[in-house]
This record gives sequence, C-alpha cells and structure tokens, in this order.
Amino acid sequence: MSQQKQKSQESNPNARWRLEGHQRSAIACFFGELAATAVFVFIACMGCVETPLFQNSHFRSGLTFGLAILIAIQCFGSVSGAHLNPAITLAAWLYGAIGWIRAIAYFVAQAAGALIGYGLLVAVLPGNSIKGVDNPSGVCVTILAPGISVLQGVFIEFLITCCLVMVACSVWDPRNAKLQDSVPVRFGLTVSCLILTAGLFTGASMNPTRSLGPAVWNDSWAHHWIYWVGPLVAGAVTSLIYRMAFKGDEEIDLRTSDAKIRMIGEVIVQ
Amino acid sequence: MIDEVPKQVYLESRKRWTMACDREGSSLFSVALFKRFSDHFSCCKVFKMKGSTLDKISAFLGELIGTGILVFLGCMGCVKTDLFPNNHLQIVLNFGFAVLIAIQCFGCVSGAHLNPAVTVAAYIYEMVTLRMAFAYFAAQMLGAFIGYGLLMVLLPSPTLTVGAGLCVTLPHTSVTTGQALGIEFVITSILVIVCCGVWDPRNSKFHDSVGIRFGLAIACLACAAGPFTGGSMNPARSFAPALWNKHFESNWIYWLAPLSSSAITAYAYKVVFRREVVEAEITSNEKLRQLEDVQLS
Repeated sequence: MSQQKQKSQESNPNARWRLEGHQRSAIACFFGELAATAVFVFIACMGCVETPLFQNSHFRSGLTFGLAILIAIQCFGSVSGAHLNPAITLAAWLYGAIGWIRAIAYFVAQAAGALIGYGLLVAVLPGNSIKGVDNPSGVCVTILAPGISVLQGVFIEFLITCCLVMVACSVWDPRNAKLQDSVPVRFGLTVSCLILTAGLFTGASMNPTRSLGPAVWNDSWAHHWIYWVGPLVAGAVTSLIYRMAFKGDEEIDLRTSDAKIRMIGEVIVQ
Repeated sequence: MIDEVPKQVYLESRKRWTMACDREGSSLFSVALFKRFSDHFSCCKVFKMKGSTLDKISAFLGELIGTGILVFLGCMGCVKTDLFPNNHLQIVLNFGFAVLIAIQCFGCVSGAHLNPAVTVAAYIYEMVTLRMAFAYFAAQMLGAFIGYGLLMVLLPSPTLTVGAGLCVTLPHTSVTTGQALGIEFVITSILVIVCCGVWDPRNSKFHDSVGIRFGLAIACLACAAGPFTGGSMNPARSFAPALWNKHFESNWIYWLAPLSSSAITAYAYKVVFRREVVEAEITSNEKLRQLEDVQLS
C-alpha cells in the first residue's frame, strides 16, 4: 500500500500541487457565492434607479429584484447553493445543511460580493442616478418609510424573512430532493412577492449584505441595524422551528430505494 | 389452460401482472414479466382496456375543464372599465397565470393542450392519435364556450359590453389583414416551438416547471402582440367570445394563422431538431450489467 503510494507520487511530481477534489469544490463555493451576490446586487439595484430621466415604478423594481434572484440562483445554485443572504446561510447551518466553517466563509463572500456589485453600479451609472436630489440616501438604500416606527420596521423585516426562510427550508427538505428543477423560478417569484408586499414600508431587504453594500458606498446608516437584527433572528428562529416541526424523514427514500433494488433483483434472478 | 395451472401460482402471477400494468414507465420490468406470464395475457386484457377507456374519458374531461378555466380566468382578467381599472401588463400576466393554473391542474391528465393549434402540433409530432386529436378539439371548443358562458352569468353587464364585447379579439384598426395574419402566425409558431421543446425526448425528465414556463412564455407573447391582434394564438379562445357576442368579424384570422402555423412549425421541428435519447439505453444496459455482477458475486 505505502509502496504504491510512493510510486504514484514519484511518477507524477506535479501531483502534490494539484488540488484535491473537495478543496477545489470548497474554493468554487466561496467564489461562486461571491460572484452570485455581486450579480444579484448589481442587477437588482440597477433596477431600482428612479429619476426624472429614468422613470420606474414599484412594481417594476419588485419584479426586477425577483428576476435578479432567479439569475443568480440559476447561475450558481449548483455551485454553492446560491444563498446570497446571511440569513439563509444562518438558517442552513442551523438546519444542518452546511457546517459552521463554510457558513462563515459564505458570510464573508456575501459581504464582499455585495460591496463589489454595488461598486460596479457606482462605476457604470451617472453620479446623480446613484445619489442626488431625487435620492438623498442613495439608490437602493433601504430606509424606513415615514410613519413606520423602528419596532414596526424590525417586525416587518422579521416576518417577511420568516417567509423567505420557510421557502428555503422546504427546498432543502429531504422529501423535495428530486424536485429541484424550478428552484430559481420559485425563489425569484417569492422574492418579488415579498418585495411588492413590504417594499414600500421598509424596503423589504430580508438580507443584511444587500443593505450593507448601498449603505457603505453611500455612507447612509440610518436605522441600518434593523436590517441585521430582523433577518438574522428570523433565519435562526424559522429554521429551528421548521427542522423540529416540519422536516421530512430521509428514511422514506431509502426504503423506496431498497424496495426498487429488491424488485429488480427478483426479476433478474428469475 | 387456466385449469392446468395450480391455483396459487395463477393468483400470484395475476397479482404480479397487475403490478406490471400499474408501472407503465418501467419497461424493463414489464418486458421481463411479459415473457414469464405471456400465457395469462388474455386474462388481463379486459382490465387494461377498461383502464385505457377511462384514461381517454378523463383526458377529454381534463381538456374541457382546463380550457374552461383558461377562458374564464383569462377573460375575467380582461375587464377594464371606469369602476374596474386595468392595464395591458396586468392583463397579459393574468393570462399567463391562467395558463399556469390549467396546466398545473390537468397537465398530467391530458397534457393540457388548451388550444386546437397545440393539438394539431401534437398530432403531427405523433403525441396523440387522430381520433384523440378530434376529441381534444371538441373538448376545447366546448370548454371555452362553457368558460365564457360562466362569465356572462357572473359578471355585471356593463363589463361585458365594452367595445365589440369582453375579450373579443380583433386586429387593431391600423393593422392590415395581412399583417394580423403574419403576427398571429409568428407568435403561434414560437408557442409551438416551446411545446415541441417540452415534448422533445431529451427533456422527458424535466417536466417539473412546465406550467411556469408555459405561463411566462404566453405572458411574453401576449405582451408583445396583444396591442396589435389581441395575441390570441388559440382558435377556441377567440371563438367563444365571438360566439357569445355574435361578433365574427375577422374571426377567420384566428383560425387560419394558428392552425397553419402549428402544422408547419411542428413538422419542421420534428424533422430538424428532434433527437431520440440514445444515452439512456446505454445507461440502462450498464445498470443491468452492474446489477448482474452484484447478484453473481
């Protein structure tokens, strides 16, 4: 055994420099998550631009956000799972879908991706489209609407993020392992619905890094903390509840598989 | 023949054959059982015919109700008066979602064609027999008629008498007859290409989101062509409002263009783009060999 190992190393001097499969996969996950978040923030925030020169509407912005999510998940869903959102990553960790080391890496990638995505937007759009008389806080910066108290804002973000995390948990449910074909469309339409619902009141962030990007670039931090507290608490609470109350049993699939194998075996034996 | 076989063996074999009948998708399984129990095939034939007949009846009813749902929801979403404001985007999205609902409900029952043009394409593509195609056509016309009839009963009369009638498709006054024919022809062509793409053997494993894909595709086509011709693409959907409102002006456009377009496009797709799945057979053989190896060892 050890001799064979030595032989293979000697015959291939470059083998030791080649990354093993799981290491390459881990790196791809990180950069996939970074690129996915950048794509999402860039497209979604560009769709939020609204000035006298560039007309827009709430409906169109909401739809653009959902479609941006669709694009990001379609591109990187099979690479990293395309969480795009620290709340989803936290939920995935508590649900048992990923380990804590990967969760931290995802968080870093998402923050970096959001900053890069919004930076690209600042680079390619006219200055007054990003921040000006029409947008004192900056385009796509999430702020509370007049008349909405801070506590109400936190609760709105909490509840809509609960809905989003429930969708994510149902996608991860073992009973849905074979039904992954249209996940990008489902998430896209879900996000569109939630933004059309709550966007007028809090901006419907549901995503700390999505709010972080615009806040950093525009130096607009009013009530920024509610977009961390609401979504993250919702991610934790909802995933734990779903896991305890709703999560399906993986054993069912195994039983089915065994039955199929036995059935085929009988046929062959006969 | 039956008397010669011991009773227990006969009952057991019949049970297994029934299982085989229930699993149409398992061709390997069916072939193996068929070889072993070919002597008893005639016993199960009666049950199989009965099941087949029931399938055909449910397909007819599914097509009828599906088209009824499409026309009812789609045309209800076209209401536009001072009391009930509306806009073009809302109308086309509503139609797309109505299609989504109908396909989600009856896609696995009848294929949810909802449209004589799609049925023509399916016949040319060899998805349905000629007799079933005519049955589908009758179901679609009847379903559309009933769907619009429900609207006539349920909606207030001012909403029904707008223009030529609620949801009656007419070319825009500035669009010539030739242009209208061309528009309907091209958009139906695109719709049929979507259908053929879904039916392609290479996509046989990816039917999870067909309803959404069709819904959004139709929303796009209706959004594009709606202002010019109404974006019908569907003779049944255009005929029902025309019949109830006795307004048949230009209705022939919505028969000629979709039907001819679907015939030509389906044939072209079948000849040029369709490919059978060769890989699956190899995979099946490999799996079979692997299983044999396991069994032997």
